[in-house]
Amino acid sequence: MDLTALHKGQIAEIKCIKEGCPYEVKQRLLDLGFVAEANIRIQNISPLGDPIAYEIHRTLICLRHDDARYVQIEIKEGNDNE
Amino acid sequence: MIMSSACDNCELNPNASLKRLGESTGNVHYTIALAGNPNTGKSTVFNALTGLKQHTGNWPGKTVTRAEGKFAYQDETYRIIDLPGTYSLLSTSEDEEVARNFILFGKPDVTVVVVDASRLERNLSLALQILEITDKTVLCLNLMDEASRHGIHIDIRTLSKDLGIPVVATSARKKEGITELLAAIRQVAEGTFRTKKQQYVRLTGDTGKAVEDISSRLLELDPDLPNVQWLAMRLIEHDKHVVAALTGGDISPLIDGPHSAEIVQAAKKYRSKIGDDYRNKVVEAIYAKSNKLVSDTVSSDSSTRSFRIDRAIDNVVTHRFWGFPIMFLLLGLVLWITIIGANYPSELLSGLLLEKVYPILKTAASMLHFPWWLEGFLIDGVYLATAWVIAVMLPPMAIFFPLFTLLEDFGYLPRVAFNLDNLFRKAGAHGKQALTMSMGFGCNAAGVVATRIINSPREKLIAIITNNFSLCNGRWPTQILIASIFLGALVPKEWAGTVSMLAVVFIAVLGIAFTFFTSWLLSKTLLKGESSFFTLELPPYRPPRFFQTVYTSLLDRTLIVLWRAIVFAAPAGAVIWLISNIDVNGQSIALWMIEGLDPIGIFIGLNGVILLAYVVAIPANEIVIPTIMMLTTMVLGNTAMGHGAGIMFEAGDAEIATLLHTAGWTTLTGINLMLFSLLHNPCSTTIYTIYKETGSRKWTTVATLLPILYGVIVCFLVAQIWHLFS
Repeated sequence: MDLTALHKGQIAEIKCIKEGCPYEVKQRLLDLGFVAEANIRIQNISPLGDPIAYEIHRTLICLRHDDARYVQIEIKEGNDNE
Repeated sequence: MIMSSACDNCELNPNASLKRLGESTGNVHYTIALAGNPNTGKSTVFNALTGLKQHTGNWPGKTVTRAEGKFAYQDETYRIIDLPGTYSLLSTSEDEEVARNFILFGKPDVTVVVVDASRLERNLSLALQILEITDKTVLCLNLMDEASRHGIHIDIRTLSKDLGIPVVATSARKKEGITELLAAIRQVAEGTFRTKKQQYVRLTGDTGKAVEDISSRLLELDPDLPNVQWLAMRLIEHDKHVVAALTGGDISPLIDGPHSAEIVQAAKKYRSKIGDDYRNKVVEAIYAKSNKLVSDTVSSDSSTRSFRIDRAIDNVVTHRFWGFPIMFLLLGLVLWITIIGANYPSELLSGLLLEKVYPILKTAASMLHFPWWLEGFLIDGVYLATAWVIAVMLPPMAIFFPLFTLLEDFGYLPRVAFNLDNLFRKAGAHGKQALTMSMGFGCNAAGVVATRIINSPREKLIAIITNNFSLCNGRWPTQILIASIFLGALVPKEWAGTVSMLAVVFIAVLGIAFTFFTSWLLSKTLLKGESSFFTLELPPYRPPRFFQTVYTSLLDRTLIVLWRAIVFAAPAGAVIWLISNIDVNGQSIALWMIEGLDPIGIFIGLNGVILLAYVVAIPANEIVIPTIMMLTTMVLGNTAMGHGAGIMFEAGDAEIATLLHTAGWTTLTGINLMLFSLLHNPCSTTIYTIYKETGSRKWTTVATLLPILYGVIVCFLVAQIWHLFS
């Protein structure tokens, strides 16, 4: 599954950046620490639903839906009832 | 701002031997590079060392161009270069290339990596990449005050031991730890601290083997290469600059053409073999190492009060229902305080400059027997226009900018960008345009400068061209005055204030609508393209430093903009006076121009006086109303009001209303003037700023003419509809 499927209250682990991701986007995602084994969770959702602020490596990084779909994740814990 | 206290001059204080030399020239012993992630207080450290005043703010990406300064410390002179803030040194963006190439080829004696102590995990990634290039490095753990407020404890000695370099804790905004930082810089520069080169990033598998192979080939040719693993990594990445330097013999004189070509070839083979996975592995290894370092040296409790406060604020200001109302309320509050608060100092200033100084100058001129034209030109023309601009422009800017900067310092503005990004994305623009747009409500020139935080050139241009649609401080008074004369007067007295205020708010909202519409239009036509990759870091909230903010924003923004406005206002005053006083064929040039412009003016529901006023008052929107009044009295030949041809004057709202009604103004004229005040060319200060920022005549012309085109079309349509129903 990709990052857009993550719900508030869940914690996920990043698996990889998906095939087909434009080179520039991939570079920037990696630079921001979207690497395998990094933990990620949703901190805030913008009032209009997009972008979303994720907590990763103890900082808040906002991504648009279009870019978040390139990040492959696996849910580690939590439920989506929050 | 440099606070000076008795301690600064005390012999016992090693800081006393710091001499901030700013931009002065002279012999330099050591070159220092200042690197770091965006928003780690790098510029604050730079300012503390050099005494220069780089603008700082709680907003990632403040340092856009490379800044340089000097300081002397214990008899040695240091040159320090503030590199652009970057998250990494691996990519091809311009910022990263500048930083990477300077550290690698500029061969600084010491590289200071400024990191945010409260976000060490992310920040160490960059530090590790720099350590791969050079171990002549000092790690500056900045924002220690923030870190301890968040309950973060860092074992500095262990971190220093693990990295093999000096690690210094600082709180640059409080000037804490600067002395220790200077000592560490000196120790590394002179070699008294022996930094320990080690392999920081451990690569495994195919990637590890590839890097190892290229490294050993390089070492075979030159066993003394200091940063062989980094070079190997860059060669496999096919970094153009590194390849060119290697083949050119700039990396090592021992490695020459044929040998280097062989290595470059081998690196290329590895790259195509490992492919995309290569970069993944490198970045993973870097983050693995930085995680390890953090878990060994940092203890923190993410449930501390300050963490919870940050989250609570974020939950409210980005809330689904409350996010937008809070945003409008805050911006509205800032504008309201500005407009109301500016009245009093404006009156004081105009009382002083127009009612006290002006007559004195007139008396002095007649005592010195100035000819009438010289007196008129200098005092009624140049002086009066300049004085007017200062009186009406300075107070609102001196209130708006500090308030805005306080919000910026606190960290709220990136949240505004976060809230509004979706709308900007749909218009093909960048979320950070939300900031430059809000800034435009203060001053469009300042808004245009602020577009530097947008990295993508296409989206930066969109932000520049549309900034004029934010109703700036100079136009609010015009809007309020005309709304109360022409619209407030249409309804019963008790509703007048509300109706005119709503009309002005409507104009401002219309401006925002034009911003989105034009952004969308440009990204579909002249500036075609999808909106590029958008990332935004939301920095932690920081308590703003009130007095420092007020002081620096006055210097940085207010005075610079005011100065530019004065430079343009003085000649405009001269022109206004000249066209009103030079007669051709029995009447003044101004009257001829008004007669010529009148048909066009009437056609779009305005008049010739308004059009001429907008032509001559191009330096500042603030002088539009006084110019209109002066020209109107001249047209009417009304000597009861005003002080003569080409002389701006002050009058109460009621007098202005009578004057304008006498001149044949209708409600339509009022409405269209409000619209035209929103939709016309930017003031000359802004046009000049646009030219400086874009370096392009073409885009400056587009930014200047497009709003006029809108203005003419909108005013024409409104006039047609008006005539249809009346």
